[in-house]
Amino acid sequence: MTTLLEVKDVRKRYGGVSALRGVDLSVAAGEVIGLMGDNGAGKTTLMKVLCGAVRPDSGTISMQGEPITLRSPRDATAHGIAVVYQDLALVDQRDVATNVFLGREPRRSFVVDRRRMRREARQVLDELGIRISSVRLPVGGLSGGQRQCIAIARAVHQGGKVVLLDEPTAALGPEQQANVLRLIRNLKDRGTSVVVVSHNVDHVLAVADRVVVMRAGEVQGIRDVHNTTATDIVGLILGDAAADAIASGDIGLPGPQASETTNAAATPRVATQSTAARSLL
Amino acid sequence: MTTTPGMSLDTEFDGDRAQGRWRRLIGAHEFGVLVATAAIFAFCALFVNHFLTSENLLSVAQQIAFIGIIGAGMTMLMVAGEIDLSVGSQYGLLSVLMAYSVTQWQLPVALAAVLVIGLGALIGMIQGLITTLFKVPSFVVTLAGLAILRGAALLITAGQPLQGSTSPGYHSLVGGNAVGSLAAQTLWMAAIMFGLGWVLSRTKFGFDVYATGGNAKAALNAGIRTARVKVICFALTGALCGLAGFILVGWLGSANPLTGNGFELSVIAAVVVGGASLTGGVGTMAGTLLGALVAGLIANALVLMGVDGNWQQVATGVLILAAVLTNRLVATRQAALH
Amino acid sequence: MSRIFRSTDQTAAAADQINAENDRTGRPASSSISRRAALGGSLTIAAAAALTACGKSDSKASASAPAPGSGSGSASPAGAASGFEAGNKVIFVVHEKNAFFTPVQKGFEAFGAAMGWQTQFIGPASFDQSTVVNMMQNAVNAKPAGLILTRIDTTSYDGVIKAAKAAGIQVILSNVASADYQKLDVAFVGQDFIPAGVVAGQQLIKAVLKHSGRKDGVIIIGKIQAGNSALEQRGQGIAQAVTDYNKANGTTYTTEDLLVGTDEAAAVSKIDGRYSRSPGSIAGWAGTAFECQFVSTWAKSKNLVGKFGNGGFDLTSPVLAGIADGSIDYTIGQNPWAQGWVASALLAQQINPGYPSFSYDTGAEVVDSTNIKTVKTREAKFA
Repeated sequence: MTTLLEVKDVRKRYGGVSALRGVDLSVAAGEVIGLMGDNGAGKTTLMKVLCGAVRPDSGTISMQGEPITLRSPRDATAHGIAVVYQDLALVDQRDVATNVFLGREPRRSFVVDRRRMRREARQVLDELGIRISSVRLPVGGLSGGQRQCIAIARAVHQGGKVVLLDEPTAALGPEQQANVLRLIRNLKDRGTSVVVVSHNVDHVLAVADRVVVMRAGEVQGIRDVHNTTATDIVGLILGDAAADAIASGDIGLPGPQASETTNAAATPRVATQSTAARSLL
Repeated sequence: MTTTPGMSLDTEFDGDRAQGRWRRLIGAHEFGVLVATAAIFAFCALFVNHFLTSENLLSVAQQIAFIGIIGAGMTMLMVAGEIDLSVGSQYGLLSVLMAYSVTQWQLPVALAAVLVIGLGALIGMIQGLITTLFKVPSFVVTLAGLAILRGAALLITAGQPLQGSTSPGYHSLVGGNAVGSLAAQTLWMAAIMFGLGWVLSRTKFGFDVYATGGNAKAALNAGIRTARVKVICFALTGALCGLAGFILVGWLGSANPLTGNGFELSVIAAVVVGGASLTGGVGTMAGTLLGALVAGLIANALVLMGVDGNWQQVATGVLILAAVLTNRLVATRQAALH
Repeated sequence: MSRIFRSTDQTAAAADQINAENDRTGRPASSSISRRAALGGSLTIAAAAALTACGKSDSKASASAPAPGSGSGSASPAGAASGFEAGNKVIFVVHEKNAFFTPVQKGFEAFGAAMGWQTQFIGPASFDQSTVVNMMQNAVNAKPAGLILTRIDTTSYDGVIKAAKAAGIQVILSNVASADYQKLDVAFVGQDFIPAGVVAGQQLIKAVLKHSGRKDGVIIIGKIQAGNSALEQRGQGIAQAVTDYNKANGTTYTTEDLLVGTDEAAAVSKIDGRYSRSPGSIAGWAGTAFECQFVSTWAKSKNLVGKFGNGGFDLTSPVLAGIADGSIDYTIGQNPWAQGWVASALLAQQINPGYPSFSYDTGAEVVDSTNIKTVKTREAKFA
């Protein structure tokens, strides 16, 4: 697989606080990366750097081998990096088609070609397997899952080669979560790369190819989903001290022995838990 | 990526077809005001003497011209999620300046018109920039503008009404009758509302206005320069106040520094009755026109019916409440329809 | 007596409105504030009234009018010269419907009731030029027999006045007429501001002589508003009276303008500031509206009552109270009742039999300690 997006030694300080202390990350074409970490681990800052909202102090970002500078979200979009924010970013009062094309409506000179917009929006929805009865519906009346899917559809339609998803399954019901995860797989099948920020280990393991865990502004570890377990990931997220605490039973997280939490060995109990999430797909 | 056009060029997906007219109608935000307009019109036509004459109806159409013209700008501004409380004062100040520049400075009418319209745009732009750059709510900025601009109008005139131009050409352009009793003002309003209605509903800029007011963050993320959109809407509203001043002075031949006193409320009422939301993202030019028309019909009918003038205030208030409640009802029903 | 009706404007009436509102609230707040406060206070009542608005207005229309539906009473009575038929519709449109106009409206309605007219008194709650024109246009469209209008500038209302006359509607002006109203061939019922100012100036000199006997000093001409032509004309009249008196009696009074505004606290501090600058120079305070009540407040707080002459215009209750307690020497009334009653009477004879009207000066009634009781009793009828 060819590397699509590459981040090298990116650093960012806010006053005295180092939010990113030299982060390296590479995303291959058609790869789904799960980006995880505790609050304050630096995931949000990294996402902001990737979408052009925050400029790093140092480090390079390159797209298909070409170094790029991201001064604004517009730059990021222009380079094929699209973000779907946690708080969605849909205009509730407008219809589905308008939201899919938000800011980039097809037009003849100044006039928006609404017919073409509706037709193409339908095509995008069909391609991505998103089920919505009419593209004329105002998105405000749709379910959370449908709205999330529309936001993702826009990111893809507007030329996103890498789609950054910030907590795409948070605050959704199980069925809707399943729809969103299915959509992420569809994206991968179409060759679109996805970076998913999530707190939900099971969801990440269900769709990601690799899991990148951040802690205290650094990449703590990178795991291939086929060679890892939820416990392993949780251990990486929490760090050694916390992992020890889990092992000694101070924190009631079901898990195997302390020595095993930091290695890649699978444990039956966590695997069972993960199946619950997978079965939804 | 871009989807390849050409796949189902001629056919729309079944679900995407426009719904039945009736279904669309009752789902529209303008439904409430449309029903109100029809009901009031029918009532007046049946029970109010002297109502159903072409002259009376045309004079109603003339009377709503200023609300319509300034309301067109206000509609765009409110759809963009902002409000301008200073429109009455702007309209007053610019009327005074229009009269002042043709009489005191002896400017040609056309130049004076360009001046006041340009100045209106500038005032709007400044208020818009203060709102967007310093993140002060437009309610507060334009409330200050309301006071400042009214004060300026009173200062320029020393409180006295100013004589305007007596040029007959100017008068007939803005204050005369186009055909029969159809007033020139009515045509000005129609042109402005049609033009800006088209801009709002069909153009890229109009789509940006809706996105900005509907969800400014989303619009910004989608690459829409929301601050610029808002400033343009402010400037447009200001320019329309200038145009209204130009028309008023030509029509009445004088400008009073208290012109437009309290007018912002009439304009905002028309826009809100027409289905626009104070929180932005919702509203149409057709709705505003109907909102202005309802207000004009009520004012007219109450005088014709011999009702005490104070009832007009009450009726307008009741109308605003009824319209807002209807809109709420429509929103609920719209959700239920799908 | 020759009449000079110069350009006047709405601010004159705005001042009068503030006057009149003080009457109700008992303190000189700005007009809009006091009105809103009153509105806020009666919110519940308003809400209840709103609920019954439609029903009530309907019933009122049908009860008071043979016109809606039946259409009998209002069919161009101007042309029908036979008999003094009842049911004529007459509409009074004012530029701002405020408390000043209460006695005007009462006078209009009293005359209308005597004639069996269907009367309608309308005006916007706050002045706006085009709103007023629209209301007048609607009144013309209602095809009444007669219209009473306030013409508060020299051009804006001419179109609609001409349209009314063209439609055979009799028109008369009341309260304010503005320059050149004669060219419209209509009469005016209201105060003539310069002569009223002269009367005020004479009253003030009388008061100065009574209090201090001094033959020199400054007479401060108070203004609640800048550039209000009615107030300016009253001020002109006061200055003219002072000049004339100096010539005739060899006194050396001078006049000086002082803008005090309508806010009591601000006005009192301006008055105090002017006094402190040169306390010995002031002979008297001659207001052009209700400034005298501020002077009264100030003089009472400084224990200076009776050291100067102090007077003004109009019959609002704080001013009448000041006259009663001796802190104000005089005020000049403009008989608002006549601006309704006499205007209606003149209009009536224009409608039928059809005599032209001539303008009527509602005068400059001097109110002082000698007649204050009578005036207070009379004005209480409109409270």
